[in-house]
Amino acid sequence: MQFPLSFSDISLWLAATSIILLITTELISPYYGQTNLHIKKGRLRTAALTLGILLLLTVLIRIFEIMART
Amino acid sequence: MKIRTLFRPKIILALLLAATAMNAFSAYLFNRLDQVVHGDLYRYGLQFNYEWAEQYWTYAKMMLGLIGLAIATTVISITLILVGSRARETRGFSNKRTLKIDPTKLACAILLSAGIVALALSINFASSILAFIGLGLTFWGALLLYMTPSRHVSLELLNATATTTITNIEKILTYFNPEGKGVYLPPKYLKDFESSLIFIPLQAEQALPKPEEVEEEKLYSKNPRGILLEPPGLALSKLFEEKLGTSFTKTDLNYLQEKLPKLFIEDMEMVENINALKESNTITIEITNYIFKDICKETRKHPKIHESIGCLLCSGIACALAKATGKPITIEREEQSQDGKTTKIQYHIQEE
Repeated sequence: MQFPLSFSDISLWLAATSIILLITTELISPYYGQTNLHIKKGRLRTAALTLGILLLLTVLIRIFEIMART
Repeated sequence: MKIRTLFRPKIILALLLAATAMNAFSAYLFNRLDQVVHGDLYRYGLQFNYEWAEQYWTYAKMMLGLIGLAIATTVISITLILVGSRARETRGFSNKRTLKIDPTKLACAILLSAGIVALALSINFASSILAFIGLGLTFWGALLLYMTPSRHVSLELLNATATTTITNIEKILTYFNPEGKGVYLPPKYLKDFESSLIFIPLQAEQALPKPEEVEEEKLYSKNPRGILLEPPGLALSKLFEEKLGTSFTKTDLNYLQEKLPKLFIEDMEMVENINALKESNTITIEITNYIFKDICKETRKHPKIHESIGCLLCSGIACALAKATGKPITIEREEQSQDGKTTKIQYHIQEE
């Protein structure tokens, strides 16, 4: 039994999720659209930035791996 | 006979969790037993036959199904206890206790549990699609839980609490009947630099009191004659300072012009748009769609407070300006557009 996702799969998931979150954070408005669900915009931004940083970390690890092989 | 017991969610939760763990352990032990039948017993001479195998499979499926149902039932009970809060509903003379469920928390719990189940199944079946689904569901469930505020106060409630304070200030002003406009005193006039005071002279064109005559505890100043009040927007301006992580006394007007729009629009989500313009000794601030609209509308019904002090947001900005410029500030004019969405406030920086 082993986790079926590889390192590059996780990196891809991080990329997709962080882009969605970063765009949402920039476009979200407290005045328009569905306002019944209350969210803290600052926390959404923190989550988006954290995922973005994690993605960059995975990219850096991949670059170091490629550099170590050559 | 009725026995009344106290509702202790922690004990019930612990019991339900123990039940879930025991059910899961039962499923594991049954799988081990199944391995004994399918592996070891054949080595001791067991011969396969559909007559006994079909009965065995039926009982095995029923047993695992019932264990699964028991786990699902206890998980639903745990979820209901976690997401629900007990509320007492009073109708007439009878008290009725109801369980109030927060839909956001329920959604979080469903997403999280579905995500965890999908992740567990993905490991069992080595399926990357299930792993992606599980990862996504778990992440969005956790994110929803993290970004929803734990407590939320409706604007109606906030407006209702502010109304009485406005009426009381109006009563004080009506009693003293001042002729002059309220002056927001800069920190050099105060003993506590972080505080703020507004001086309302009883006669127009009156000089400001000397710093040694200003005391935060005093309501009435004899020389020159006037009223000393804590501005209604003081707490708001302190909140601005807290959010910006600095005191306005350490900043200047340029800092305010640069930081206030971001603070008001993005961080505090108080206004839809804000523009600040400085022309010689006048600062004009234009605000669109602000959340204190109703409180300010209520303030306009009280002519004295509207003329001398200004509404809650105008007062908060005036406190910040007095601290940042280090000069006395008066609210010259406050105009509202016809559709009521935009408010233009003119502040005057007094030269001493």
